[in-house]
Amino acid sequence: MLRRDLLLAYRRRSELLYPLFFLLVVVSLFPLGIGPSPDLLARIAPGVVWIAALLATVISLDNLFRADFEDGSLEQFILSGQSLGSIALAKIVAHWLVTGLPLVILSPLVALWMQLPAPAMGAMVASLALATPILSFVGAIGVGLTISLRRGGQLLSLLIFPLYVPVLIIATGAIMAAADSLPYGGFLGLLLAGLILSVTLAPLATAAALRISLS
Amino acid sequence: MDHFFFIWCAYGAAAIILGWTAISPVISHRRAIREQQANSGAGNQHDANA
Amino acid sequence: MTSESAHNPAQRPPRTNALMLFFHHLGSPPWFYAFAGKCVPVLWILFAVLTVTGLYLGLFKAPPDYLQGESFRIMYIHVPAAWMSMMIYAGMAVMGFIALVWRIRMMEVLAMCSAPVGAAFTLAALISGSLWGKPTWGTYWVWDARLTSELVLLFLYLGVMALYSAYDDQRKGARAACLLAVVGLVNLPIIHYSVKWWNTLHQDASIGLSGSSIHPSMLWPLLIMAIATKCFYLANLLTRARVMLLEQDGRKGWVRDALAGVRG
Repeated sequence: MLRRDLLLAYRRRSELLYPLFFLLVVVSLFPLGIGPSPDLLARIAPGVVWIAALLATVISLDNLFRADFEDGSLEQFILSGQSLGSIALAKIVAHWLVTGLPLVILSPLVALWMQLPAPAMGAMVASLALATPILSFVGAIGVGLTISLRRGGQLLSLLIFPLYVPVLIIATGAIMAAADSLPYGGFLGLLLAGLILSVTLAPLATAAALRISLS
Repeated sequence: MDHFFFIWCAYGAAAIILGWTAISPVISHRRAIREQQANSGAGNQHDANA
Repeated sequence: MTSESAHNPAQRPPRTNALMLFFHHLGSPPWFYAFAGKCVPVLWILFAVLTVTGLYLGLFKAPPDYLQGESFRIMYIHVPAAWMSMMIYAGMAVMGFIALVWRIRMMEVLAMCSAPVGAAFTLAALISGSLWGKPTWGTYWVWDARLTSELVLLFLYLGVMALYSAYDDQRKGARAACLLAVVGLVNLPIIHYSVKWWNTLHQDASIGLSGSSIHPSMLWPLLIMAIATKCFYLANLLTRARVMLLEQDGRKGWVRDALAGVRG
């Protein structure tokens, strides 16, 4: 399943760049809108990078089940009796590899634009690496709930932003602590705990959501 | 501004919000009953004619 | 109970569990409709009595606060509303969980009808909290832990309500919204603690009531208002549930029977 999704994604690789372009565009809007003062940008950098990552993820989440939903293969998965939870897990992992991981790789560039101080760079990459999967996993639940709706995509963002709030707070907390040369391991630990929690629970909830949507 | 202004505003806002929350189902209820009775009246006529 | 009576048809079970019977009845729409119809007026009267008492004691009899003067009296609507906003969400999620696992339709109805009431309390808590903040902190909005949590809670409520109304099939929509509510409940403590922590990180601790203990004359009105808001919730919930049952079961026989002698 994982291989299948990665293969499908590879075939549509131009589409995958949209969320990345979105990230770049959104982040560059901030200096343009606020002014290029390095101190100001550096102070808001963690938040800006993270908010842009959140928005980019939400945009890309629609790809998660949409294609399978539209061509009926989602129904086939459910009817086949295979564990829907593990199918969801595989698809979410594929989704992250294709959208979250590029975000992580691109983040140093974006951090540079926002004048993020060097000590914080490591924390930023680590926080993105740990927490973008959380975004994918938790977001998948939202996708499962809205997949059968006409305006599902718009509703999706409203539904999952409250669920993303803790991730945002802790991740930016880590980066800001690192920027002040304070220890930030605790924050990353919390993110790791969140990751473990989402990996175990979110596929179950996503499977339940898909079953409801396709019932 | 003295504190009483804020107290009045706070309780007034709460009263409006909660009052509207309380009244709107009552209005819907009356409307639903009226609709039901209109429908069952029409339905009975159909039954009589059939 | 069924198997017992099969073996001993002449013998009733030694003790009919009245509570189980009650819950069993509640699951039946016509029974619920009639029962709720009787409860609602009682609840409203109780609410009125408690509110008048509580507000009288809180607004007139309790002495002014040492630090905050008169404006602390907003507490008597703000705090009960905030308590209700959280309790109703928890209740809604529990009802949603029961509805999903045991497929009980009445639980779906009750959960969906709870959402607007909870959202209203959350909004009231936000506005009263904001108006409490102006004389206390000098500004209408402050990103303190409680207000920020309430704001996120409001978004959670609106999400549940939006998801429910987005579906054409009401029962499917109710199930989806129930799942969302349960997911939100799992997240709620996480959100709470992260917001609280975020707040202490970025700002001094918010001002609460003066002193570490509340004077009894300040406490009683608060408790009375807390019970009053519960009566409000139940009365409103039962009314909304009755309306939803009428709308959903419009074609069924029990509706016609129930409305037989009722004025429009």
